[in-house]
Amino acid sequence: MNERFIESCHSCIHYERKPETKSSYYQKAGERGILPERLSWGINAICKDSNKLKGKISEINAVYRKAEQGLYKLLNDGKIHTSIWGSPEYPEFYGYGVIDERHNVYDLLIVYSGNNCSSSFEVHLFRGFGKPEYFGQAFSYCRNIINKKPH
Amino acid sequence: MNLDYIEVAKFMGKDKLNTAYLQRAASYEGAEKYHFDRCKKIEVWHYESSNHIAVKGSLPYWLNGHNYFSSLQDWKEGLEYMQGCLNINLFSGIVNCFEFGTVQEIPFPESAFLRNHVKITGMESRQYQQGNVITGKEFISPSMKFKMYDAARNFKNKLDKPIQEELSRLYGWDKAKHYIKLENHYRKPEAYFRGNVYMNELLSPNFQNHLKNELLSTYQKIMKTGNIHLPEKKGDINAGTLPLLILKELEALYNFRTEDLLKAKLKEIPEGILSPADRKARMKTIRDNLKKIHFEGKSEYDISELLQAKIQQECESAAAPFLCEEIGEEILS
Repeated sequence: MNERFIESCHSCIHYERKPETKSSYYQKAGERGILPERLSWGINAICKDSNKLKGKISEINAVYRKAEQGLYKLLNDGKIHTSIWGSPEYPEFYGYGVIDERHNVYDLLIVYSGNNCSSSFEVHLFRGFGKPEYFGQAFSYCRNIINKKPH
Repeated sequence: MNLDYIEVAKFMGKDKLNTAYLQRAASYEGAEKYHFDRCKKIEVWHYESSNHIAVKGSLPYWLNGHNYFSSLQDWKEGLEYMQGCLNINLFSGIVNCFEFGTVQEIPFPESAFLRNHVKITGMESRQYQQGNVITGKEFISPSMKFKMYDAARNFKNKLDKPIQEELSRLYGWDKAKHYIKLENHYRKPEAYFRGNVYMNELLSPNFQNHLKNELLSTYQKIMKTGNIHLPEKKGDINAGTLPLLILKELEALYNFRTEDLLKAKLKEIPEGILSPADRKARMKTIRDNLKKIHFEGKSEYDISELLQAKIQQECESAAAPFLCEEIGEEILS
């Protein structure tokens, strides 16, 4: 895939934690109308230990507000859920998730944070890249734009 | 040389179209029209009654933002991505129509090139103009259309600056030079190739080579003017020679002989006006002027050799994959 095409499939959304909350993050910048403006971050449900869940490091859960428009609002009654998995091959990123295989949507979310997601993070969303064969290209693209960014 | 616009149809059988990446553009009786993932350049039509879909559009524009060049690899990756999103195998789809062509740099202005490519026997001709300037020509038959247009003008008007810069960087495109796009538009591939053409067949190297040679042979069928060698001395281009130059150029197109037409016209003039001696004298002058006009073997606007060289070059680079990979890596790094 050439870079121009990947760029056209890519959106970046910046979230910041709401003060005095543990896991409530609000959109502060980036394209609106894709993900809900508020995300719940972290594993809140207790899961049994299993091999399947090895590598899972967090979760994103969210619901679109009634008046809010969003790319995934018609899926699953406007409820968003994805597990966030570690990406040891790309250690500069916190992890990645896919929205939402259950509904035949394969959009890749790459999470980047300079503070280990304690106060803010960026979600880099790649439309249609949620299949393993595209992960490498999406991560490389993300790596390039993060390296170019002034910190 | 590459594929451009395409229409692929696929009967879905038990497969179900995934509409998550489609935006509905219009509803018709028995058909829904969608745009593919916010890209208006790719249309997806869903015909419920016949349970098939059709994907229409220019994949190079969708993938690269231009149709200057797109490799087979681009096509494969693009189709794989699209079929993953639609949940339909497009490689086994039937190709309903497609374009195959190339952008060629030419050593003369595009309008002069187009003006000197006149017709293909048995095909209808159509010309496109902006004011007095010719910007494109088409030669049309029921199953195929050959298109030529001013590519330099198209790129300058249609493409954003960053894409124009990318064309310069990757392919050496130069704003100041002249470029023409030549394209075979197969309107009914099943009739032209005497059988259905499937997407995976279209992308095979053999078929691609066949299309390259087809493009060249269609181009060679065009009747071209500009094969008259202009007299070099000023004295040889008098007012009587100029109309003869034009008549001589038109001979091949309209199948006549200039000398015969002029002789017949002289015979029509009554003897009261022109005596036989006068006729003889005028015919002699005409013959003397005709002697100043010489033909060259082929039109100076004929770019067959450039196209041949391009095909040759593409075949050689396809035959040397390791070399290509190395060059590719260099570019990437």
